[in-house]
Amino acid sequence: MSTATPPPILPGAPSHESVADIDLIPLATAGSTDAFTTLFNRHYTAIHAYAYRLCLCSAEAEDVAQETFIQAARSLTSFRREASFKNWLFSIATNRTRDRLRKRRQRDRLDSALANQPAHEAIDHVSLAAGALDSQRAVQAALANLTTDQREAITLVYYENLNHAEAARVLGCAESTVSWRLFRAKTKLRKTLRAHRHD
Amino acid sequence: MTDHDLRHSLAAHQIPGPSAQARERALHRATIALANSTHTTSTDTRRRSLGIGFALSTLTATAAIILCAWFALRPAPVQTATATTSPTGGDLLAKTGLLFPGQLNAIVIQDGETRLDLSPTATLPAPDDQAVLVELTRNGHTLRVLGYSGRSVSIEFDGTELRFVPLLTATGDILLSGDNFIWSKAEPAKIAGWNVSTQTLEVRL
Repeated sequence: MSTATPPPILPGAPSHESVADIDLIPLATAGSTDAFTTLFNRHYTAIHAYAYRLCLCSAEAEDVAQETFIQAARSLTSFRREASFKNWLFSIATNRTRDRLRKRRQRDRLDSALANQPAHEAIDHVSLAAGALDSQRAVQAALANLTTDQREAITLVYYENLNHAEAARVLGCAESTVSWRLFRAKTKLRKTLRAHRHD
Repeated sequence: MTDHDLRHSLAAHQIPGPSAQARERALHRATIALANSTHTTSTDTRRRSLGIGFALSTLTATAAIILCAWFALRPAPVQTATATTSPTGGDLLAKTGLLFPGQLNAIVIQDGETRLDLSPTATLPAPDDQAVLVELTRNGHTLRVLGYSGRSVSIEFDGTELRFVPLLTATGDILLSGDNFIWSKAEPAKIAGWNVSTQTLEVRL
């Protein structure tokens, strides 16, 4: 799974680069900015990508990613080792995204916003051949057709390579629920993409 | 479309990376949040420590007051001690007897209250007297009498006085001898409506 441009790495502490997340967390909790920066650099891109695939909007994704790390910084002491740090961030990002989408839905704009999401937004940053560009738009539209629950499941399992159990923990639901959402999402994606091919 | 095709299509979906400004802004704000959180946490810890210290001091002071009050207001040791059917009842009787040489006839525990049955004048101590427990129950009330074989016991209940002398027989049984009754295990008649049980007490002092 690729992103368009590799984000610049902000200055962190080189000495922390080889330190595992689990060992950086106590340092960050104790107030080490370097340790926290290392964690940030390690996971920001993934969290942003995850947020983007849920929101399908660059600005929203950046906001969600930012809110996720602010929340993580505030709640670092409550981090438990039951999940990986990255999956913990996914959980926070999921909740932040849901909040945002809920607010959007309250304004009765979610569906229309997603349906009318200009597919070229994601592609402005990359240069693709015409065929690929067309395919990009098709996938973007297909993803936009999914419900939020289905997009969460697809993103975690297909893009972040989590297994169903891990995705269930991130999403706070049963493993069977994730499986069912994936099944529904794949059915819908196949239908949409097949229709696009025939066009 | 196979699952492989679907994965391939999804994998081809590229997304725009975050802008450098957004990334820098996110790190900056998160770092501030971390600093505030760390500060808050240490402040909370200090407050918690102070709180715990205050709570401990209060607890200690309260415990000291309660202990002082208990020592000041408690009844005589014999009265606070709980007589039970355990062997320590005999010890309690013996210890209390040391406080009232030759005077202690019995310790009577009535519905949780303890009373001493004392002779007005000291009599010759009889160290060989067997300590006994007599338990009387009636209508949910319980009287426990820690006494000695051969020493008269007087109990008052609801304005009625009951007097008897527990007597240890040669076979180890206990008789209760009253003005107008004799009670024994073999003939466990009620005494003024009381159910009676007896046993000897061990004195280990």
